[in-house]
Formats: sequence, structure tokens, C-alpha cells
Amino acid sequence: MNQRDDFRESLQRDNARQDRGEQAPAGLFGLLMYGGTLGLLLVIPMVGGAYFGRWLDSLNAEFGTRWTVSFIILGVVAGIWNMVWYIRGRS
Amino acid sequence: MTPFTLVLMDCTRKEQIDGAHSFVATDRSGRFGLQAGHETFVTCLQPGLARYKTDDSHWHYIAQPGATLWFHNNRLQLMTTQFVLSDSRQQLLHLLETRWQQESETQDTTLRNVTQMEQALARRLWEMNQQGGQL
Repeated sequence: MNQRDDFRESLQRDNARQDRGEQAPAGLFGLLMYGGTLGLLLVIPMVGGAYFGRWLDSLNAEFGTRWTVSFIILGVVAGIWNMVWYIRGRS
Repeated sequence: MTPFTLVLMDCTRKEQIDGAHSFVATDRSGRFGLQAGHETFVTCLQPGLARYKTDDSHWHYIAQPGATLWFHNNRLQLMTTQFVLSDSRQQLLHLLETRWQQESETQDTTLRNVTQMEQALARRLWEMNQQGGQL
């Protein structure tokens, strides 16, 4: 077998391997990792926003929830944006 | 994401790709990936498919029959005997076959020319010999 045949064969093998990888459904571990990452991307800015808003509210003499609610909403928006960015990066 | 420069070299040409973000290939230890900022790295790639991602977030494919990879100072150099680039890995084999066919044709033409030159030279030497060896 000459060098060209070797090259051709390895290229076909790699192509077939990638086809199989693209067609194969994600395993349970893969799904857990993907779902977990998406969840964290959504939850972290939300919880961070809630804590930051609560701290801002606590600085006021009249304790309110205006900043807490505002930063939770901001966190949700940031989390959704994070998820979209992550999904687009993976696809 | 910080980009790096990818330089591909074979016997006849050199391609430089600026703005590569990720490179994936296979060496004897298995499949690996490189990103900008990686420490200096040298390895020999297995023949087959390698791929890289650029600013457009699409994978671009490289077919190579084995190559030497050198990553240093955010510059990845691939040195090989031949390579083919394509955005579609299904097209790579077709491109490669086309290139091989062209190379064979060029080789045939060159061989034919050399044979003709040899024949012409031999004829000329024979004629000179017949004329008494004068140039």
C-alpha cells in the first residue's frame, strides 16, 4: 500500500468517525453536563443579582426590595443571554 | 476569545490563517485541542483530518498525511508534505483526488518532455558524430 492509499484510508476513517460522533446521541453523562452547565449559567447571575440587590437595599434606612427585584430580573436576563451565547457557541 | 495564527506549510506553498480560535488534531496519544496562550508544544500529527475554528465560529478542515506541529508564541505551525483545506470535510477527499490527478498529469508531461529532450540530444550527438565531431 503506498502513501496515497494510507492517506486516503486515514481520511475516510476520520470522516466516518466524525460522522458517527455527530449522529450519535449524547450519553447520560453528556446530557447531565450540558444541562448542568446551562443551569449554572442561568442561576449564577440570578443568585448573584439577588444578593447584590439585597445588599443595596440593606444600605437604605427604609428597608425595601426594589434593588433586590431589579437585580434578580437583571440576573435572569443575563442568565438567558449566557445560555444563548453558550448554545450558539456549541452548535 | 484570544485568537492565534495558524501557518500551514508544504513543499510548494504556505498558508497563513489569522484569527484561529481553536485547533483540534490527533497525535499518537489521541485527539487533542489547542487554544491561544498554550505553552510551547511540539508533536507529530497522525495522517488524516485536523480542524480549526475561526472568528466565524465555523470549523474548517485540513487533510494532511502526517505533519509536524509546533505551537509557540501564539503561532501554530504545521509542516507537512501536502495539505488540502476545505470548509466541508466531505469535499476533502474529492479535492485531494483532483490534486493527485493534476500532479500525475504534470509528472507525465514532464516525463514526456524529458524523454523528448533526451531523444533530441541523442539525435543531435549522432548527427555531430556523423559530421566529424564538430560542434
